[in-house]
Amino acid sequence: MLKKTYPYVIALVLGLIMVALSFLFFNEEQKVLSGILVGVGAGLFGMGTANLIMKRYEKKNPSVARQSQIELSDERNVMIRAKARAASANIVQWFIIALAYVMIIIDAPLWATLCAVGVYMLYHILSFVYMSRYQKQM
Amino acid sequence: MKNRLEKLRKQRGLRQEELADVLEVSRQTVGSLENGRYNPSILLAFKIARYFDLPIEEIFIYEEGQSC
Repeated sequence: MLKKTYPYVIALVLGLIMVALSFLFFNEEQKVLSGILVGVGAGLFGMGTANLIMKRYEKKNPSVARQSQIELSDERNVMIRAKARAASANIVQWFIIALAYVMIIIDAPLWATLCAVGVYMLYHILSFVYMSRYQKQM
Repeated sequence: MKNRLEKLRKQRGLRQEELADVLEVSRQTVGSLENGRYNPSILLAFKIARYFDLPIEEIFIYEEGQSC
């Protein structure tokens, strides 16, 4: 179940503002900025609208809202989601290190290789941080 | 871990959906519990035991050598 409405209203308004602003930068020199504004703005607008429609639907159908809240907080579903995310992150880390090797082989710019290595290191640092956090909590 | 959940549910004439609604879990969770594919948290086990008004060990059967 979706909780509050205002984050979606903010997303919708922000999306519209960004799309509107993109027209100000609609020239050859600033077309990258214009493109980013349109892309991010349209994404925010879409997300805000979809969530507001869902929220309205849940308001009209409390039983649907209750069921969706149960599905979201169901302990088995929570565990499945956490396991699936952990497993996919574990797989992705190997792809990231493979990407770093490919970048070295194809003689890609150093910053690109360092970015890939940085993401790989970030994964391990975050894993360590969360492990020690959960060891203290549990 | 084995359990008597299905038997107890049927004794009360409940459908999986109805039991899930009372326990505030999904129907799939009730199905998985009954099949023994999923072991509940201690909180859910207590909730189930309270609902059926039975001690936990009369619903969930622990056998030596089972892994967590």
